Amino acid sequence: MILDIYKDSLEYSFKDELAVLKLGIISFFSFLIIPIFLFFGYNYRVIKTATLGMINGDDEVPKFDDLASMFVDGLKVFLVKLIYCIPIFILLFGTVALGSGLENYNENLSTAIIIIGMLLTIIVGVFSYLFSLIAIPRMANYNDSFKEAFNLKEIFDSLKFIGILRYIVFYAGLVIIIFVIIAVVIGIILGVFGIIGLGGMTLSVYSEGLMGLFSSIGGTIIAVGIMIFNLLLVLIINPFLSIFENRAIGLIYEGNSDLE
Amino acid sequence: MSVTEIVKNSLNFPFTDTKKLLSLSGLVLIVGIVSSALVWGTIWSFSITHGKLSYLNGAMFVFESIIPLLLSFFVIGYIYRVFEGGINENGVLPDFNQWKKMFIDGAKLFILHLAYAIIPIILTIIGTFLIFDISFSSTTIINHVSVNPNDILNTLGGIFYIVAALIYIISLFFQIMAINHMISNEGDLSYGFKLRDILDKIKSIGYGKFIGAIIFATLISFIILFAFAFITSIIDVFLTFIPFIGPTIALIFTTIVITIVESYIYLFFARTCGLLYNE
Repeated sequence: MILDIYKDSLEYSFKDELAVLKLGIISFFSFLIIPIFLFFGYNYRVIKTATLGMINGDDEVPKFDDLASMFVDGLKVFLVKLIYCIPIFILLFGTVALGSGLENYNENLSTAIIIIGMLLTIIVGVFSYLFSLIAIPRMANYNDSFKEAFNLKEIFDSLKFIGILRYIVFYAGLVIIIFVIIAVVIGIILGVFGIIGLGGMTLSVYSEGLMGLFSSIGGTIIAVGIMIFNLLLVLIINPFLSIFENRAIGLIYEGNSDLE
Repeated sequence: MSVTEIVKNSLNFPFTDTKKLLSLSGLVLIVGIVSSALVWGTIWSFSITHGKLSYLNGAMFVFESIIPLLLSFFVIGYIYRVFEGGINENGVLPDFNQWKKMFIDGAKLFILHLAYAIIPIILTIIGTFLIFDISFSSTTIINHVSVNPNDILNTLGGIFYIVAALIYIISLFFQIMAINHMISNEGDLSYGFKLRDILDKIKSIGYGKFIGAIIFATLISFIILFAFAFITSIIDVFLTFIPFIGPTIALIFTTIVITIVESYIYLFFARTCGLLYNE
């Protein structure tokens, strides 16, 4: 089932190259603030399509229309994620404040508090991240209701239904796939440009007269390679992977609500 | 409609008639230009008399405070109509006509706002007096009391400030409903102060929904304003590279863009508030 989701999500993100590019352009301009929320909003649409659709169905990639509602949805997603981060921040700052405050009073106690606090922060962090992963498909499924994103009991039920361990495995798999894809692209692009560039640099060692020229050409080729890689990452790979990830997150949630 | 739907509707609303959005921007721009011209005029008139008060700069000072306010009544009056359209769920932007009525409506909203702000204003004045104006001569009292009484008064003044700010913020939420309530009862100003009715109305919408919607709309307004301020500041950097006229172009460009964005936000926010009334 998990493998089906991966397969479907990969196929889905290959479905519409133009949508990937459009999303890439939005993410390229995300330093202008509003496009960030459009980016989130589009991913929310992907999740929504996935929760309403089914695995290996013929769902269409969402369109880029009605930017106002895309923006609002994006802002909501952002707020949900932000609010789920609050417990982590509180725990982290509380631990650090308490730990450093007690340092002069009792060093062992302060060390213990910091260690326990950090462990607690990690556990709470993992759970609130898992919750936030379920919260957004849930919001999409319940008529965009912001309140439903914080219905912790129901979200925990969904998580238990999918299986907490299974969900973690699923998400870890997702992350691994994303990393592998990025690594392959890095390998190809930087490999090609790097070899040519380094070749140029080595050549410069053997040709004394043109040494400076060759080594600077080699450096330029490597720099161009890095630039092309970055552009490719922002314009194509990143949006592609975000569609992939959100499709998968939407689908695994759907697997639960169907059987309910 | 859910909060999300209201907000989405309101975000699209100013674009239903771009001409009117631009007309409102023009109105806002005129108010802005007149008021800054008067401010500069006042400063200039004070510089002529070397900072001394005279009939000229006294009159300028009065003009500077009153004329922009009176002009802005037209803008507020238009906002009044947007509220009205939201309450009646009209799909289009209201017309620019019946300027006299628009002015009076604007004045009404101003009076309503002033009346709701009066308690915070009084508290702020008291707080200011406590901090700045009263000071005991410490030498005589400090022999008997271990705490400097000025400190206590300053703290008290600070507390007054905080309470005033809190009341003001709470009253802003209330005012939105008060404006709605007034407009839906044929603009009768007395309906703006029927606190019980207004509270009931908020209750029927649901406190969470009402407050959440207002906060959400405020957040969106801030993001839009911030984003456009950021974008224009980037463009301005490039515009200033144009020799001689660059800075002027940048100034004009920024003013126009921010005025349009500001008008857009007025329309968006008023629309959201108006639509909330019949929830």
